[in-house]
Amino acid sequence: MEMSGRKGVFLPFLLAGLLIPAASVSVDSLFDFPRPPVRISGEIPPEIANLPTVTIVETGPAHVHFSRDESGVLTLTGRWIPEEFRSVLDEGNPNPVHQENLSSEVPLPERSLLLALIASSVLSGAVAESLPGERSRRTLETLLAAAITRWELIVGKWAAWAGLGAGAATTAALVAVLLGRQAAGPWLLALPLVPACTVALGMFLVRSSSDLIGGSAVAIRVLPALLSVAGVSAWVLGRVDPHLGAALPLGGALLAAGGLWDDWTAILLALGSTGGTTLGLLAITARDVGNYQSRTSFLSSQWRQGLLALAIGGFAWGIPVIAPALWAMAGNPGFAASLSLESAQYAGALVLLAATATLHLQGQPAVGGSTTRRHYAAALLLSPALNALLRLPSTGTHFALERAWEAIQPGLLPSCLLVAVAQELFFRGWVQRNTHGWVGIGISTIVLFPHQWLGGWIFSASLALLTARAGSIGPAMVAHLFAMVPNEMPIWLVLFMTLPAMLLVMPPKGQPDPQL
Amino acid sequence: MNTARAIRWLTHAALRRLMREGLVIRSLVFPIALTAGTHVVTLSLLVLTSPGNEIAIPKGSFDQELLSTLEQKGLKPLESTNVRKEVIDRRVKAGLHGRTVFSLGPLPEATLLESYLRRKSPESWQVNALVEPPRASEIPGAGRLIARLLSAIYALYGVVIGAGMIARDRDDGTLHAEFLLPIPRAAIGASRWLGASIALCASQLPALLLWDALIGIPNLPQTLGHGAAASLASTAIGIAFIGGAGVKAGFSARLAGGLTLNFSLYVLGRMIPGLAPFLPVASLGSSEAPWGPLAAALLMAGAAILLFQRVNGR
Repeated sequence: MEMSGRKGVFLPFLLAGLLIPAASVSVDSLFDFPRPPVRISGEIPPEIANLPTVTIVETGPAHVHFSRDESGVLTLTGRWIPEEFRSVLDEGNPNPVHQENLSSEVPLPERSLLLALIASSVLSGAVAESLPGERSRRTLETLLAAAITRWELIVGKWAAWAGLGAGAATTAALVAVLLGRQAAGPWLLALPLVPACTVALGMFLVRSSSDLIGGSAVAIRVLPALLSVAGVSAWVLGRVDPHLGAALPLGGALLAAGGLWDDWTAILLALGSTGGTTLGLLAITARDVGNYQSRTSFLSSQWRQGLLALAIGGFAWGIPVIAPALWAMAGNPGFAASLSLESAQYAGALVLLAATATLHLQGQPAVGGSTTRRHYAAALLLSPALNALLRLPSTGTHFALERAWEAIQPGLLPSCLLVAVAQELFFRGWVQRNTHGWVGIGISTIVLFPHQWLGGWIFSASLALLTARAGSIGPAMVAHLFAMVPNEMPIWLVLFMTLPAMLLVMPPKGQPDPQL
Repeated sequence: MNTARAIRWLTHAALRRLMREGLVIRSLVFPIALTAGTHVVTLSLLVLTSPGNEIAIPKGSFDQELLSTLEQKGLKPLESTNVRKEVIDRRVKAGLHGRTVFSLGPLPEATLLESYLRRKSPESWQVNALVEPPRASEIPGAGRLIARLLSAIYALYGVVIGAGMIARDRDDGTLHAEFLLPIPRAAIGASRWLGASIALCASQLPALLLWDALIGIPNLPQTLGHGAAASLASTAIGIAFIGGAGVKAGFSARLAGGLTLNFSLYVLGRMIPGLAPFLPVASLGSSEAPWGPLAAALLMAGAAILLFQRVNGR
């Protein structure tokens, strides 16, 4: 019944159409791309100029430049020297210098990984439809009222799709073995487990979805991402110790199915962890499938808003400002240094502005309220102290921290001013209004001041307090904008100006003190 | 009612309805979250798995010249009994044993070791290793490609959002309620075009700037201009193609027509580069000034709004 109708015919055909070519086509012919020519310049020897793999350039960048010194010795300048140049120039040399490329020795999964991924991915739509389809057609109640247990119902549905996926993947694998595309091995045992676990995971994800669209949206978005993350995580862990990678549910089985490990202990670990996870997922799905009580989130609304704020703030500031430091950590500090910090400031500020505007339009206001002149006066008096806090030195010398420090430095460039406006609208506007004030201060400190947490905390708390006392973000925005004006005010004057600012933000006698 | 004021309020209302659609928000965030997220994860994996700045050399084969060669380039020697294994296990990027250099691919570190070995044999040809990896400006291709693809995706969204806004508002009666207002119907079409264009440009602009911060995009101002022109034009295409259809009747065929025209413009731009200075969408990836495509996009918007007025009666 589960596979009745068009999908029961269409899906096996689709699986066959994808899996048979994947199992049988010769990979070498597929990936035999023509190599781009090597650009060379300078005093090129004729035997190199005649090579079919080179292009001589008169101007512009070249991969390899040829020159000769006064004594006529040939020098090749470049980041790497192609092997064919070495063969030609060292011809006749009985003891030449040579390079051995060992990059292909890095263990990578074989073709059977693709078979496992195809068999699992094709089924995600059908799995997404399985339980939500029954629910939207109102046939789930009928099935639950019949003389079968929830466990039998879930296992039955799982067995239909898992059987199709596992059978198709195994058949394709046998085709690959028979055609000599991949040698048989213990991977054949792990291969059927990948679609089996993916189907169980898909059913688990959609166990509460009430309609087809909701179910499809969850399964189609989440399943491929989970498969990829599990596979990559298992590969990274496996580089440390294969048993560690193999023990990761789903990811371990995926890589074992890809023939990455021949070690039987690793294969058994992968089978055990993924098999156990499959059973666990099926048990939870069976427990929850007839439960119509809406599950309340384990996080309160304020915490969810806080996490959302952290995600938006982290993305807006972390990706453009901090992430380029990864280039430096990956061994190319020059590339990281050549990236535009101004673009990073604009990007971060615009993401914050777009997020604030969207949330505002969705009915979660970021601005509003009225304030008095004395709060604006307090903002102006406070701005030199804030300026000093922004200029506090970084607590570390790491490239990422230095970049984070540079990105918030005072300056009168449009990007610096936009940064100030965007940060106030988001952190003191939306975050402070929609979460607890201290959450806003914490998030603002973590995201914007990873280089100087104490100074950042005082900066964020001052502006948050000013906003709370003033009842609007106007004074905080003025204070932040004026703090961006570069100045060299002596510290005694800064402190002297801060005292009246503190007095001005005190609530008048008899009026309640607005809390953060 | 003042028409300009009516357009302003209707645009605000259209934008507000658009931003309350979870699907629209997710779609606009998806390209940049996915691409930037993947990039950062890939780089992080590279950082985690790439070997440090050590070079393996056989135990006891240490000499001062090698040490100074390595130190000049910020590299450190690692003495080992099995250099080849150190490289295979990715503990080091490259290693040296006798007259053989082991490496993980065509790396400048390996070229540096080769230069050291060849210096010891003056009769041989010599190597001058450029160890500094390339800077963003030296490899503009990746930034240009990703900017073009991102803008092309937002252009496709433009057709879907432009058509979808009109069709949805027609089905739920919003459009008919607005037709009762004493303003030209072109103003109602203009507000939809403006609302969708603002939403698209507001998501595309930070997306492109973010990629400029991550890998560098050559000719950024021109790229931003061509991206904006594509968004404005594709929204107009969506509004023009939807005609009198609603979500429940005739939507798919009209949408398919709009998407086909949009994609055809893109392909035309790739096939006939001479069109880039004039046609929006076709101009994506061009380094020319974007004024031509922007003007053409505004003309297309005007035509789409007039068509909207014609289809809807007054």
